[in-house]
Amino acid sequence: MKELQRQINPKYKVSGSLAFFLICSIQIGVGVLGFQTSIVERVGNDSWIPVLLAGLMIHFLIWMIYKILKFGNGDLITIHYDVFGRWIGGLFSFVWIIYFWTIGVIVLRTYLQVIQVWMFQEINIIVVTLIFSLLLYYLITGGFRVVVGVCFLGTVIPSYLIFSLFYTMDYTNFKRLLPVWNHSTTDILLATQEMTFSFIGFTVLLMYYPYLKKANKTKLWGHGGNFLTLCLYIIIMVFSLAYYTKGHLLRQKWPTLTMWKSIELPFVERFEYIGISSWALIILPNICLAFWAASRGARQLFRFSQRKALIIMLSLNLLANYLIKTQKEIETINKLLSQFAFYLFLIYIPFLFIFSYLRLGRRKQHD
Amino acid sequence: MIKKWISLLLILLLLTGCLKKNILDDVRLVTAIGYDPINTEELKITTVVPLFRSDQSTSSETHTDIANITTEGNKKMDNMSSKPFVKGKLEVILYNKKLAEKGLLPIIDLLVRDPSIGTRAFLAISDEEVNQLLSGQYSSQDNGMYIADMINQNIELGLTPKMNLHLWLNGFYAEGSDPYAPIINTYNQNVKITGIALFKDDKMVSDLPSDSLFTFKTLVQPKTKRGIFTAELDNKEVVAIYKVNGKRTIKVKNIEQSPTIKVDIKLYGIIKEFSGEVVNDKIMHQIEKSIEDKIKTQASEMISQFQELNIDPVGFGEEIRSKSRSWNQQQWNDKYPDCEITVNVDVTITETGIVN
Repeated sequence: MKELQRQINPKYKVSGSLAFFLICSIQIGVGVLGFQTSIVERVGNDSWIPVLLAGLMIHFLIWMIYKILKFGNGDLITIHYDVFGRWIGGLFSFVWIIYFWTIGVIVLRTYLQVIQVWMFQEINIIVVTLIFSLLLYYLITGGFRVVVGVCFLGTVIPSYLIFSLFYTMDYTNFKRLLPVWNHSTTDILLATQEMTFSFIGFTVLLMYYPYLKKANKTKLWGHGGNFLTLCLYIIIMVFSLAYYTKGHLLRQKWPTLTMWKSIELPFVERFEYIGISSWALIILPNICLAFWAASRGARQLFRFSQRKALIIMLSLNLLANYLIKTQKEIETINKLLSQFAFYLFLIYIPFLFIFSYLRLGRRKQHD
Repeated sequence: MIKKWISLLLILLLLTGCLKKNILDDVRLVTAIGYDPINTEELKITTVVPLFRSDQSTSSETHTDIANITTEGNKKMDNMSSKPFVKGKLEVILYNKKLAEKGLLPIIDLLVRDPSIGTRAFLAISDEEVNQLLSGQYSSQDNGMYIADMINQNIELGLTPKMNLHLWLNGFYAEGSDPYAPIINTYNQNVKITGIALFKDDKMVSDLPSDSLFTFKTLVQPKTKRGIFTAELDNKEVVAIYKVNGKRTIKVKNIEQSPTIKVDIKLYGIIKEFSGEVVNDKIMHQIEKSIEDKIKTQASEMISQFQELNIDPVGFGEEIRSKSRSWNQQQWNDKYPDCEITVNVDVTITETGIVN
């Protein structure tokens, strides 16, 4: 039985500026490939507005999370323990661990689906998941500093993909974005909800906060990371709206990928092959951080070795990837997860904010 | 440490490719697919595959079969072929006119659904039997590449508007515009663009002759770059201008009730050839006037033809949609045929070549 760890040995901590990459690397993932459709379905040419609103909402939530962490001075599990006590706090922590784990599973499965549909129809899901699992085991057992390294590289290396957008400018017509705001505010707010899945994952901050040096001084970096994600989503949304007519976009499952179909380079006929392969590097930090957070949470909650927790989680991941077979199942799980995350963001985080203020924040002020 | 290395080595073992590979020499790269109607249900599907000869020349090989949908046809072709057909390099999709008039929707699905087909491929219509057209030998390239390069060259030179699969689909799915595609036919042992096919939804309803291609281009494209145009003056002299640059703006008045649309086309060009002698100010003015008149008449005739057929390749509907706050596709479709659309052309000759 291990101790609930409240302080991290300084030699395992990472520089505060890396919070930037930790936030944006987990937000940018499979969502980028196909986030447009469900939003455009509701608000058409105004689709960039929900993206902006959702991004600003997340900024607000990140502010709130930093406050919670300042009150609690620990990670999510210790805060739950301090605020709600052993059993209720433990229950909440358990739900969060499952939530982190599900993010890892669904990101991997959605990526494998993209590979299945676009490149290799005959790919063996089990074998690929196994390879990924071994890689994840290797990275996560290397410690948090290795995970941060993956996040950094997973953001920097694939960043050249943004230039692919310039190739689509042959066909873009930015007039398609006009007239601005011709949909009802209700529709725009409802569409904002659809963006949840794209920004999912930043809540992992609740787990790695103690690992940041001078953690409470990293706010600006955290917000910066989210701002980068927001800009990226807006740019891609604006280009998609200009590239497709509305009806055409709605036919696409992955509008970003279909945009690559019109790119022709002298050395490669289908750009998607480069893009999708590079995407493995983009989703690696996603999965890595999600599983790290889940296993770290399990270590804190059940007080046994993180390595064992990770092995159990990766095996369950293998099982889940095996059981999820059809596109419909993937979509359903994605939808359920993003709905769950929506309520988590909108109700649970403010709830935790208020409680941790009452139980921990006020006490501190009295001291 | 040793454990770590062993596990790394094991990972390497897993990385050997277990998937089916498509090596270039072992597949047939389809560069063009053509469709002819047989009867109400069945299609005659023709695929063109380049045949690389040892003396470095290329010719094309065509395969034909009869089927309901493309994949079924390909399956039948695969049955008698030593190598599988793959569509990753598809450049041209050619439809017989009769097929296009019945509607392309059932056969276009493959092009939208299949991830291996690029959206830069050209979609074209032919008056002739497509099988015949694709079986001919026209150049040292295979027919798919040849036709694609030919259409592409015409677009690059500014003789036709930009057209490809992506733009066709964009027009087809749009609320306020309709798609168009080039018509190609054989001409003196070659293949030539002989006009433009106009679509209402997925059905071809009319076509434009090749001599109005430039006017059509200036109408549908917001920006014109390059292009050659010839016109006749009142005194029977003929003039050709080239490097025509310009832009088209659409202005709409009274947008919510009964819109009146004004199309302004501004063009700048250089005189390439003139059958008369010296170009002085007076003649220059005449030249500009005659070009303006010719484009204006052609454009106005074209637009009234569009309104009569209730098709909108120019995208007036899109223009209205992007400006109106109460856009309704149904209402616009009803209004469009009676909409007042005027065309204004302004031509400026910037240079006269190296002589006056």
